[in-house]
Amino acid sequence: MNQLTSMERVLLTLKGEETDRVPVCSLAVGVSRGVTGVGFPQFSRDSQAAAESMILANQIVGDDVILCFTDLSVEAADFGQEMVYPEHSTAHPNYERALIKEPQDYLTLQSFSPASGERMGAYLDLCSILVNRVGHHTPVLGFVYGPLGVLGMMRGMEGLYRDIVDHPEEVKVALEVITTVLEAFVLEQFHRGVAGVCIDTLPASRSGVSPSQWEAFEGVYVKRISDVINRCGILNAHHGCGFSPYFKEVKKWIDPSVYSFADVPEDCRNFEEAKRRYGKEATLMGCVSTELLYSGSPAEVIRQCVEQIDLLGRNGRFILAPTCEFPPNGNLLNARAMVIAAEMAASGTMDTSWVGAA
Amino acid sequence: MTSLFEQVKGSIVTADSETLETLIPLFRAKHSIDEMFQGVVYPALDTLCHRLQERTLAIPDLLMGLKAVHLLLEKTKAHGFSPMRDRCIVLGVIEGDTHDMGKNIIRDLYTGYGYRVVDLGKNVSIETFTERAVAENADVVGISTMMSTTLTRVKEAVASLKRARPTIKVMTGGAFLNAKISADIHADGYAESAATLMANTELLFS
Repeated sequence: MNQLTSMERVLLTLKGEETDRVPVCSLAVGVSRGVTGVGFPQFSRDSQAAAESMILANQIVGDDVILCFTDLSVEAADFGQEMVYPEHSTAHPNYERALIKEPQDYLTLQSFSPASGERMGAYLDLCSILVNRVGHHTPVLGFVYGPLGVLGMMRGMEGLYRDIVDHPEEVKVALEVITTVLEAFVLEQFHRGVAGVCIDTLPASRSGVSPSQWEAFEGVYVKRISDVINRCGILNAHHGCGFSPYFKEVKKWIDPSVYSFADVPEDCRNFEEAKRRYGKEATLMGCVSTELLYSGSPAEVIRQCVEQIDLLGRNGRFILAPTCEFPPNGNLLNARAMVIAAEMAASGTMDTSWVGAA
Repeated sequence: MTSLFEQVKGSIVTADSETLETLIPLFRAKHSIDEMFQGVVYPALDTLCHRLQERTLAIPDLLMGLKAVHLLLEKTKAHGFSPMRDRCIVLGVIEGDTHDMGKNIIRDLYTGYGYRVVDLGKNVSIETFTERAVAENADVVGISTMMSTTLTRVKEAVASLKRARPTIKVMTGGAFLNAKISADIHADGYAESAATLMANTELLFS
């Protein structure tokens, strides 16, 4: 069935050429810890344990891209934000002890070398292990949380969103420092051999700020990060899992080669228009519901995947993926179902009328 | 000439707290708290929610508008005023989750619309949800989560609340949830967004 390696399949897809099947990126990250039996805290901080989990999960699932990602707390932790590492859930800030308690605290953030940070350093080690072990046949995609997201982890999103209106200059001082560190962070990822870097800009959607606020408070900063990625000559990818994502503004500032998304873009009426407008020059990546991946059966997942391939995969330039990270406590069998769906679509065995018939 | 009602409402919608503070004493000298809710707060919240739904308003602007409503209620001491609606809402973010911006928006909307709101905060245990809902004689319990890892606890909380008082209405909300999952875990309703909150709430009692 599979005639190409994952690397070949993904590269051909990015170039808009024909492949044996649609590539799959299951985004099965946190859930992968289950295949080796490690807990969330170890998965977040132990590069070797995380790498073994992700590699084995990739082998079990058979998907085509490994997203090098543990959780969203990596960058903020190294700026000094205290984190909580629950045994049964993903790491998160201790907002009772937020690093930025009041607007003046935005002015106190200090730049540092990412490789010297405990979490970012461990993340870079993870990049190295993954690239060295599987990077020759499976693309390893680096990751960076956008500056507004990182700042939100230190202030709380609610406080940050208010400060954008009430204290914009202080917020921008902090964003400047964070961006400098993130530029160095993606450069270090490049040096570890990642095939590309995905920038996550959750606020670039109706789940975040307005389009003009996003341009002023994140677009201008993520452009600098994407410039570093482009100068390195690696894949410039974007992820935004918010409602009604701002593709037009994201294209203006980042112009990504890959859009990973969860909802119809703000300037489009439906997915078909998104494909027409953005899927000719760039590759679209999505949009299997994480809710379904969590609560649905493999058969239901296959049906939705086949629908997505039919909708967004026409004329290539499409990677089948969840709308966001695969549910960390979900069933990995549903990630495998995504690959099965891609194979079914390629072989023409796309009749899913049997799904739910029992 | 723009009426005082319109001026106060406008200062809330535009989150112009400076103007609002100037207008509050003028307004209170002429109008009752009831007139304030009916003529200013409800229309202002309706406008904010409508604009959110129409995508002409973003979350930071909504937060600032709600902050202005809070200022108005504080300055007029309307927080202690008997609510327009004789209903109690108990709200919280389920244990294991600390994302509380959505819950806080919902709290401020309910408060502005005159409900009696008991905010349990974030990382709230099933036991606390149940005990407080019973103690407060809550009409509705709103359980929020943004994560999939906490969904089992939400389901257990719904079951616990229903065991404690079968007639209690439970509404869920949060990024990972949808109407189907809410129905699957036997919640009575699902709050899709701030913009449709009041309609979703009224459905519980229809």
